[in-house]
Amino acid sequence: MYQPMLYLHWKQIRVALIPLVVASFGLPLVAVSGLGPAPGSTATSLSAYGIVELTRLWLPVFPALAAAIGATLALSAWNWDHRLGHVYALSLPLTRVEYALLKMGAGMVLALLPALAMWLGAHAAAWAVALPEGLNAYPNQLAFRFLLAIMIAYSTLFAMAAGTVRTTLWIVGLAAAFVVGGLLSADLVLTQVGAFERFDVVGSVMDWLYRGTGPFQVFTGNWSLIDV
Amino acid sequence: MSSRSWCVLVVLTLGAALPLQAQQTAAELLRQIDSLAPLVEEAARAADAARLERVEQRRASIATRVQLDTIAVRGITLVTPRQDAAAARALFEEVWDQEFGGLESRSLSQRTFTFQTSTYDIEEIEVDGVREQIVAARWHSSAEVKNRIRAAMARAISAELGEVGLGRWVAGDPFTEREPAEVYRELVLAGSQAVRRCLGGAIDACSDALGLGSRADIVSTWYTPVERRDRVLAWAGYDPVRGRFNAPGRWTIESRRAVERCAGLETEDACDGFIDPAYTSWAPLAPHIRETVVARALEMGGLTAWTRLLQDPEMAPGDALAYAAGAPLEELLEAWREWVVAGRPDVHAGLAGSGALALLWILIFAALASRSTRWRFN
Repeated sequence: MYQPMLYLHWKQIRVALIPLVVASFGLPLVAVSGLGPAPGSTATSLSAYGIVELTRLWLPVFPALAAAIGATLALSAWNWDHRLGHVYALSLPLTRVEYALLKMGAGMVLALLPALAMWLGAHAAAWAVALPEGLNAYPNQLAFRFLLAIMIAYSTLFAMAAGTVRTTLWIVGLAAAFVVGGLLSADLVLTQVGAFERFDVVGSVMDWLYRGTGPFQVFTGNWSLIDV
Repeated sequence: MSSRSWCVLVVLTLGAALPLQAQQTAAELLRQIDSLAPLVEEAARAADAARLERVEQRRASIATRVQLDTIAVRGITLVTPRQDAAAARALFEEVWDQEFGGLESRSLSQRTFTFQTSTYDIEEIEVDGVREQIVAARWHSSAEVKNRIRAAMARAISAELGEVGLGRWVAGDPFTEREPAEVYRELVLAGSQAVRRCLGGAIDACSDALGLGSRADIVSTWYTPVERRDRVLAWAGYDPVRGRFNAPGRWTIESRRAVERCAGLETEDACDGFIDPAYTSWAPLAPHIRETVVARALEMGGLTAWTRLLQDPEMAPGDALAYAAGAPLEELLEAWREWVVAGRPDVHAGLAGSGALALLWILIFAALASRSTRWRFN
């Protein structure tokens, strides 16, 4: 049953996924373009500082691409089910849990494609630049982090898209209300009670989501391909 | 006179008149600027008077509502509201004993600190000559308050460096510990052959990179010709690819040509004229890196290291550091290099943990996805 699921998902997403795979391969190469000659060349290379600073400019693009791939995979996973009223799914001899897990597994396997492309691209980029002493390339770590970020983005949106549109709207609405309400109430409390200057619920939750043990922690780690 | 001669005469007259007009304009501008000077001085005097009046009013206001105490804590003079005196004494004693215990500091005993736990009940205390104010708030943790006290003490003690020759080499605060990982990163990114050699284990190169040596050709030991060129071009704001200056108006034609000669590396020393090793901005390592060397010297030298460091105002920086550390300079620099290299950051540290955490969240989301209301009958 797994293979048809994988094939269906692939058929659904291939048009969107192939450019994203190409982008995953190309991004590390673009990030290091102009950073210096290939190993063995006699031309002058950039300083270590220049290389790290220039590659740093591209760092936000890596997690953004991972999030975009995860979102594309997740939304396409349930697209047919929602459009056709879940008739195909209900016709299969599967429980809801089995069906959802098979579908999720198919998406996870497809997530390996851009991650593999990133791994190859990162290795090619690391080879293409003569690094000054003290700097190292981390293509494996970058590709692994990229894979984790895709999977997290995919599974988050997959879980949201698995429900009804109403449920999804509820979740998004509650999150938005929490952020807006939290910020407004923090201002209100601050004006009334000065001692609450550091009482920042929204900030604390965001910190937990992105820096603590929250699900999106992998997005805010070190995405450097080249570092000390 | 022919028409051609008339033209020549007109052009010459205009050519002579233009610079004269420019000179007159510049002179006029200078006169106007000079005429503004008394007004600016008067405004500054008025602003000073207003500020002093505000301070006096604030003092009077505080004095009517709050009783201030002046207490001595381990030789430090402390001005604090009476209700904060006990807490201030305990905090200052604890910080002093833990961080600076046994250290002899002349400037610390001459300096007055203020401490208050709130600015809501009273305004900020101001006392003549006080440069170190510590204001803690109710929501500050005791660790944060202690850190503020420690930083204020460190600043006060470090000010003594400015009174000796060593202050020309390092002027910051060596008591505030810096992250060795950040120091390592700065060393790798310094773009200096001396620093690279230092990281590789050449202690004489560490001495050169830190500006502790007295070599005449220090610049050529710091940087390769290409590194010198890169630094000069960055300093001059010159883009060698486009052949343009960011701010061409800053440069005379002669200095522009000199920068261009440097950009083309016409000779090996084409860029050397720009680099003055007396200015720390040209040194490969920033002044705060030097503070970490002083910190290592104080660590090696024990409680009396600070006194020894400042003992002879005329002592060369390298000698003062070695004297404070109680060890030869090479040994101190080797300890410093080991400290830096040991701090090399694990750039992707925690990635395995992130992986495990991500897996956990993926399982949670998978469980949530399988609980849809769509198939409620299942």
